[in-house]
Amino acid sequence: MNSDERAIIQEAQRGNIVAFESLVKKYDRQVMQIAASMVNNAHDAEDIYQEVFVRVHRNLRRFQFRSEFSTWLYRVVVNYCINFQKKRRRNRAFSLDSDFDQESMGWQLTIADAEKTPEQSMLNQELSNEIDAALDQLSSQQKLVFVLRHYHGFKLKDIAAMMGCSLGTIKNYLFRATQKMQSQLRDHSHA
Amino acid sequence: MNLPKDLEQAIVLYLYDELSGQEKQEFETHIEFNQASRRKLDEFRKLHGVLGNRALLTPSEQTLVGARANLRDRLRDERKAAMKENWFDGLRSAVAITGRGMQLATGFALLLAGLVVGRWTATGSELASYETRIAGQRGLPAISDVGSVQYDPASGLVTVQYQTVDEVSLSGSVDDASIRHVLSYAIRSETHPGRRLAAVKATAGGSFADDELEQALVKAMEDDEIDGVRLKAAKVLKALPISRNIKRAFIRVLFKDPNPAIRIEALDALSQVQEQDVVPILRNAAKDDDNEFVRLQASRTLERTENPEVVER
Repeated sequence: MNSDERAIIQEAQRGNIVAFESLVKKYDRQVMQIAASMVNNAHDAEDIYQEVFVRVHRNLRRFQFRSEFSTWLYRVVVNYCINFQKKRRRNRAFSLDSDFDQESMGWQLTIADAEKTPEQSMLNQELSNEIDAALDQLSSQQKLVFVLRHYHGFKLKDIAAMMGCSLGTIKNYLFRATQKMQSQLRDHSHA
Repeated sequence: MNLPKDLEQAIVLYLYDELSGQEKQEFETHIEFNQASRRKLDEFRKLHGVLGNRALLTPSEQTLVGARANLRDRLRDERKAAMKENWFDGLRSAVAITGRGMQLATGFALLLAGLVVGRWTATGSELASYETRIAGQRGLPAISDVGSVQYDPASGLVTVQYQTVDEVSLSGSVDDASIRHVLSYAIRSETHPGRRLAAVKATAGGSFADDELEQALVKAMEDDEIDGVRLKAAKVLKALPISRNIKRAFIRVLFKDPNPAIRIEALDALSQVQEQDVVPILRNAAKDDDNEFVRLQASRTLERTENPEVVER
């Protein structure tokens, strides 16, 4: 953590809202993206964003510079996402579906390896839905570790710090998640 | 064929580049001679290819701006609610502990307090436009945004405005450590190129020895996206005593800056160094620079560096 960021955090801890907003601005894209890739729904991701930053604001005084601020912040994000996922699974029958138009809410759907023809694009979309369905079969922790490592590029030791688990546990989550994903997507990965 | 769990886990960790150096080496040796492991590795590789087809939701800048505005409103409401709660709790407990006489006294005390607060806030308009002058004081609050930078070459006076909790206006010369700190921040982090340029210009003519400002100027000269900012930073640095750090920066600029005017500033600066390790660099520029004028200048500089007496005559 550089000295400027430390000073900004200390200012925010003293109640300086401008300082807090500059922290939000620095990290919020990543927070929103993690939330979106966990819940795969723009509306829910925006709710998570609000709840996470309100919690961070309320608890900022407890941050004691024992870790990077980003690690502490992402720990709040991952805890909230895990609880959110658990709650959503319990209330699945009553939840709104995610078919509303996310692009009209100012979100883009991007596929890293997308082909350009319309047919390929449709196939990609189908495959993407299958991948989402397979991810939903994972436990909340497995999904989180898998998404953070595979789609966000976090190293496992950083994920361990965020989730407050040992590195061995995180490795095991990643392994189990990969096995399950392979089993769910067997038709594609053996083609 | 099923592989032992540890081995399958090692394959997954290998694919994610999460094995240590020695583990990786051992794994690569193993995989070379084990067909079943190689097959499993290929399967996981294919899975990675498939996973690349997942559509990711990415928020637009507009979405983030909207989310920040909602958050700001929500935090403001929370603060208001908290303040109201504290105020009513305080008042209730103050009144509740007393008898009727004490209640009247409390009411009177509150009235007096109101008058004092009113008197204080009556002069509050001065606070709104106050100007803080800080001389030689480094313990500034964290800067969140630089508002403006003005420099008067005649008097050497620099005025910078920046935001912390309030807008702060700071006046002084570039010899002032606080001014230099804010200028360094503006040169490094300000998004408005005009303000970055103004901040670089404001450092001209100063006789400071300040590592933070020197590093900010070096970064501006090497990396700023605006040619004018890079050029001005080169001119300012050229006028300073050429430290080792500055010399290296000028060498990098001479090799890589796309603007010939900035490369010429670098040549000029290096010609002042009068050190033998500069000679091959100048020779290289004289021979290989893609701009004819830079090549010519480099030849002249080289001549001056190699034979100072001849040129003097």
